[in-house]
Amino acid sequence: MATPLLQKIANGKIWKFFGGIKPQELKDTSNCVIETLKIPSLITIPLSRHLGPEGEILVNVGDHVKRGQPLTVASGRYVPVHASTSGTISAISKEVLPHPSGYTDLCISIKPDGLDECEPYNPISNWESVDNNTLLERIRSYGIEGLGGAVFQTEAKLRSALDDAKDGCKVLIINGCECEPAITCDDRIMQEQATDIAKGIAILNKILKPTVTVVAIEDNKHKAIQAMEVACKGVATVRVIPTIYPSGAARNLIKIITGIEVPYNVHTSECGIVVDNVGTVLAVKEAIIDGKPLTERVITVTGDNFKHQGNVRVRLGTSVRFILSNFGLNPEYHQRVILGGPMMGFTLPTIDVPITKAASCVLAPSSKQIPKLKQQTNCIRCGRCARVCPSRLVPYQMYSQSKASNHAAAQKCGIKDCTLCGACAYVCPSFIPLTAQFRYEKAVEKHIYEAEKRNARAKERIAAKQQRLHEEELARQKKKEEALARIKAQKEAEAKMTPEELQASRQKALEEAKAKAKARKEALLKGATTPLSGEVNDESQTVERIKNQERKAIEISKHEGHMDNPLAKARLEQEALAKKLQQEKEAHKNDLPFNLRRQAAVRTDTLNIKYYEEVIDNNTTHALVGLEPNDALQNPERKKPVAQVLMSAQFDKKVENNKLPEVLKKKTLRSKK
Amino acid sequence: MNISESKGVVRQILGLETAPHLKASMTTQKIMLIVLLSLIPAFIVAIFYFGFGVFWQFVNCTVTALICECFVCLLRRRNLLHYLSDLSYLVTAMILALTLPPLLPVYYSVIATVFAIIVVKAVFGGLGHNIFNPAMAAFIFLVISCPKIMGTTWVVPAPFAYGQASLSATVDVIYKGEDPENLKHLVEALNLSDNSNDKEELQQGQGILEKLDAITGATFLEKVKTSRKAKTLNELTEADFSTSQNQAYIALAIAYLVGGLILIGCRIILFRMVFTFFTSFAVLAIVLHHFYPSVFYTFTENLLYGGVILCGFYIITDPVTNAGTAKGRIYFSILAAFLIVILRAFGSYSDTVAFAVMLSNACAPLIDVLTHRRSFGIGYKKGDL
Repeated sequence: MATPLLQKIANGKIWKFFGGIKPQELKDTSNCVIETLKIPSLITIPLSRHLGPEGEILVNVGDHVKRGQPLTVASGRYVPVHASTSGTISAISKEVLPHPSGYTDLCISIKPDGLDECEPYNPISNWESVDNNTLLERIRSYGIEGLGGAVFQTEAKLRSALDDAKDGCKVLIINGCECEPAITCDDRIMQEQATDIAKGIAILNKILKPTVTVVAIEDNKHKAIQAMEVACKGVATVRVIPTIYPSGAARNLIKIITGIEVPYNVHTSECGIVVDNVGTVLAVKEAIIDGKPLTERVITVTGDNFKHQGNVRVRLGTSVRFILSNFGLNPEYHQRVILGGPMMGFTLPTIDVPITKAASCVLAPSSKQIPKLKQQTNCIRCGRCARVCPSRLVPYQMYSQSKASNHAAAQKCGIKDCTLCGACAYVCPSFIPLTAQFRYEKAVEKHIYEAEKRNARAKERIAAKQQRLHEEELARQKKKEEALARIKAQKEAEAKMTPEELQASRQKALEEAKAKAKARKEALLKGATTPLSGEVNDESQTVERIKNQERKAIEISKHEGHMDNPLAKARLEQEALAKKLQQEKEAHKNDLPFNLRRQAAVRTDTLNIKYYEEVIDNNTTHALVGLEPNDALQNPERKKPVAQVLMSAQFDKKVENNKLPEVLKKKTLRSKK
Repeated sequence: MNISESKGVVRQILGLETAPHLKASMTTQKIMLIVLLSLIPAFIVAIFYFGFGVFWQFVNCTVTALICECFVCLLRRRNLLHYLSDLSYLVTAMILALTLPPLLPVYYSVIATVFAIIVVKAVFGGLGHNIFNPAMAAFIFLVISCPKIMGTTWVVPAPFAYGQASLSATVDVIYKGEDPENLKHLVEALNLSDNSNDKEELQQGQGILEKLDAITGATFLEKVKTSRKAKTLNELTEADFSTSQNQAYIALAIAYLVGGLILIGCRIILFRMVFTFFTSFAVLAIVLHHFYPSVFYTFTENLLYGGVILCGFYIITDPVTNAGTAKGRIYFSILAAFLIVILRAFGSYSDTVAFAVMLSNACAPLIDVLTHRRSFGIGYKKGDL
């Protein structure tokens, strides 16, 4: 209890954050007990978040995996992923991701064998006495990420709170707000597994040693509050906060609990505040005390068009179609299937997508429950959006700038602070899809930023090249001048001489040159036996290596189907050889003095002849190394579907071909013709 | 076949939408409808005190506005029903009807409405893009281009004016081009009869005119202007609010207040904006009157005459033409109040409210640029706990 602020936080003061809305709650499923779903017939696990740039896939097609077996080794800020049931790997291929545009990415498909065999659990029973590193490593290797929806890696968050914060973690907030309408999975977890969550909080307390630990729950979850108050005695204090969307967003929650506004360019953990979802805390507990990797999560299945609604524990990788059929979806015309809540979730273009760690709800509303969006009208600048924005932005200004593709101005308006919570679009009386436009704007700005980075790099390279060329040019100029001066001097000397003297001097020069040539020839003949032999050996080895590489290259290209044309093959060979020699020369450039470099170039010609005299043994087959077969030519890359969300406002398309009627069109010369 | 392999062959069966899927119930249409309904008390009061001329002006303006909107919509190739569903043109027509003189001939109000809808609104890009308030701009258009007719068709209010200026009588003046003088005098005479209770004298009609001129003459604001030029404003008798003609202004003020409170209750207009406007108006009017009584007149007269209350609740709160930011809106209302008080003292037109609103509308983009909201997370220091 160091500072007065901490004292206030511990005493239970609640601050207010700016803005926020109170949408209808739709939380009918908060009394539905968590069910467990059967094993689906196919499990698809996307790898994009579990691989990283240097990550590796540990399994191959046809391998048998058990539940909890790691499938990848992740690199960077990613965590590995685990098989969620036992079965055979049926494919490692590109599949549709749970994304509003239906992008495809690398996924591992598992055909379950129905036995659901588990890897033996490996609990850390003495976690209270184990050092932090072991626990953090466990959290990472068991694939724990934020289950609230942002999927931030938990271990990285905890580590940065320990390392980067000035004096360690001060406040640990367990986020049980669940401000999004319709979702009740965290509510149910808190009701049913309060003691487990309390254990998880104890583990986090042990790792972080915070001064204050708060469990924040919105006041519309009475049962969860009761359960948590009983369970968390001595571990954390339960703080009941008012129900306002989006109080569950990390920065807003920090504002409510601590009164601090953490800017968007700073990580919350860096200022000594850690916010973790209750689901994540439960997963931490399961990873450490039970020794179970994260292979399943609780999601809410709700909506008027389901036969029955409820909360269900699903294995990661279960397809949405399986869930819909298990809950008896009775679809209407153009049924919307929303993955995530009604405020931040997105409609799926196809239901054959897997449930990932980010998914928290499958919502299939009828158009009576959640009416379909209407056509937008003009903005009347009423300022409602600015009054509800929790990030203190002025959305309609941002919208108009973004609509005019004035990206710099949009940046200045603070598009980076936008969390896409959807509060502005919720209150807009003109049905303007503000959030969609901001999502588009963010994507465009990311694109621009990357292009700029690329441009800067290219500019640097070009500048370096220009510098080099300039220097070479200067050197050449200097040499030329020197040579010219020499010739001039000689001519002048010759002009002074008498004809006899001239002839004599020429004779002398000729003899000198002959003697020099002879000496060089002798030296060459004499030296050829001793020093050149070693060199030739070296070079023959080089040639051998080059030929091997060449053969491999030919092999690969044959395999890929490039090598039908023999002419092309010959050309390819020659080109490849020339390139290799060039590379070799480049490699030796630095160890040879400048004078010798030319001679080295001359010598390669003789070596070339040697190479062609040798017989190439075609019978020996060389194993393919390095490159894997690429079928890009036969199967060109799939056309990517148009990003539906990126089309900022779907309704605007109608307006765009907005022409004057024929009568009013000014007749130009062209139209007369 | 999944969606990525389909290459557009498979029709999208599932409904697609952008988040958020939930929507609040307030729409632009509802906002405009509530504004329109909240103006109904004022409309009724206006008919009671000014006669049915107001009603016909409303009809003129509405029909013209509707036709103009349809024309613009056809030009812009929009969906007609969707384009007309915002109802903002009805609000414009209603405010115009309440501000134009009740006996204005039909072509003037038609021209004013065409100016408001086409030139002020549609040319700038339609609803939400106009810089100036359409109703006020159209009013000023008439005031500047034909000041005489605005003066001669103005009716001095009287209770039960709808009895004299009945539907048929006003039709004669507005549509058939009859001289409005006669009807004006008949309405004014109601005041007289109310005061003197001499109905028989009223019936004679002819001898009464001199008497009438002695009582009312021009509107109060015109009278103020002339006396200000003669530097005799402090000698002018204060308006007596117990007389029946001045009761009309009080009744109108109350009607606007009721409408404004409805709007504040429905959260359509900002209370702080209205509050700032009236507070700064009161402070300026009282202080300046106290120090310069020969130039500025009193607060009550300032407030009740010339549509200040209409301005405070309906004109400056128009979201389209005022400043965009929350702080900017406060500055905007202070500026409008300041301009009204100043222009009343030094302007050459007596319709100061419209001019003040136009001037502050012109300043609104500048206010927008100068005021901006502090961004999230200011005041945060690293390790601040």
